[in-house]
Amino acid sequence: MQLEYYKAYGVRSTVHKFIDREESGLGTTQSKDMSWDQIHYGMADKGNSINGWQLFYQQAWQSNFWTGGVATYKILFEGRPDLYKKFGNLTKGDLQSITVTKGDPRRGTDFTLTGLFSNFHKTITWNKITNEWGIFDIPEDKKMFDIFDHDGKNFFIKKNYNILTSERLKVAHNKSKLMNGNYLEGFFSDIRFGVPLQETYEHNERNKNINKLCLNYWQPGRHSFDHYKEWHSGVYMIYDWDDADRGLHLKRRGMGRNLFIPVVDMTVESTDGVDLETPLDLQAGRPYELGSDTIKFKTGTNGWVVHLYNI
Amino acid sequence: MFRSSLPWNGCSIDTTICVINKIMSIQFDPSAVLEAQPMHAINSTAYAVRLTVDISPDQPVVVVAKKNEADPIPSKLSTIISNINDETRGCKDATFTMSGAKNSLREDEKGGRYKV
Repeated sequence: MQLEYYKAYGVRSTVHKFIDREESGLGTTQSKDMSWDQIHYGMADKGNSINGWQLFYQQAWQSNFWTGGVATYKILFEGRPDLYKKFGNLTKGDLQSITVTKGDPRRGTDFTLTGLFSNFHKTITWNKITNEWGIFDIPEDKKMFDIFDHDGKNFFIKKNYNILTSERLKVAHNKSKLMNGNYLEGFFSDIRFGVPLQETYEHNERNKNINKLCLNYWQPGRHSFDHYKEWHSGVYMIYDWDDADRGLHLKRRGMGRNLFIPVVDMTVESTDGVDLETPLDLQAGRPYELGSDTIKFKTGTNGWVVHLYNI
Repeated sequence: MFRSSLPWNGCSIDTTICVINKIMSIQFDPSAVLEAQPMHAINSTAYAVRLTVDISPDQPVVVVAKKNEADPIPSKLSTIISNINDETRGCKDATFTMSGAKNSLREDEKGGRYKV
């Protein structure tokens, strides 16, 4: 594994690269050697509990994710049966009350920007009601006990990051109405559990070279959460859709600064419709500023790009 | 402290310890702890700790500490700190720096502004 750290424009990025050692000439690495078991901290109460539930707390924008494979998050309620029950009895509609609070009034819409599950995470999360990835078709009155696995003490939330190699994204596209072209609005979350989470991940043979990224965003010089009202985040799914032209572009959004972070190494082929003399290689995890209105990635690109823009 | 919980086996022990030390030094620096207050038992060998560190005075976090099955939850700060789980890592920067939003680069960070 190789670790890289980037920081620019207020984006701080940690990239864990799981490199296939056989391919790289370093010797064989079995998939079991590429597993992961990590405990993430929770947020402690400081009188800032969301909705007074003692379950969630506001944090700076952050996302911790993989570029392939399936990860399971065990929410460590053990020792706090009161919180376990409280979370289990929350309905999807209750969660909506904290996730749909940041619509951009200038757009006249009320789409979800962030929250416990941002749109991106809603798209990749397993639900046991319909037994599928994605939690868009769940009735509002369904409880967390109904939606997620639990063992009487803890909850288990499973996420599938293999979005680019399956048909699921197209299904999500059609079912959820969350996507606009190849863009999914809502990536970062500003809400975190008040208890620690245990993340386990089993490397998938299909994904030999995989990255795990931790991304944070805090605009330099700002001193309160309020500045997030001026920013949106989302994901561009960059790959050859049925309509390649739609899938390979990343476009400027909003009225101000646009930043983007490719989650795997990618190559830009053209900007604003003009082919580059030399294609530009972008590094996984490095923050870039968008200086063009449109960039087009090389044909055959298969990855996604986190996008931040000042509205 | 770091050898007991290697999450990956692909690199040499020395390299791994180096990497883990590197992570720990930025994710959890025991010398930066202002307060470590036990909260509740998770099970017989683990308990939750409310942790406040000096670079994030306004945002304490909850981490997991380990203990021997027969031992009670300790109250001594140094014992609690030594019990904090090696694997409590993660994306610490957002929470730990939100009040300060440090602009300087750490020596292991690559900066640079690239416009495309």
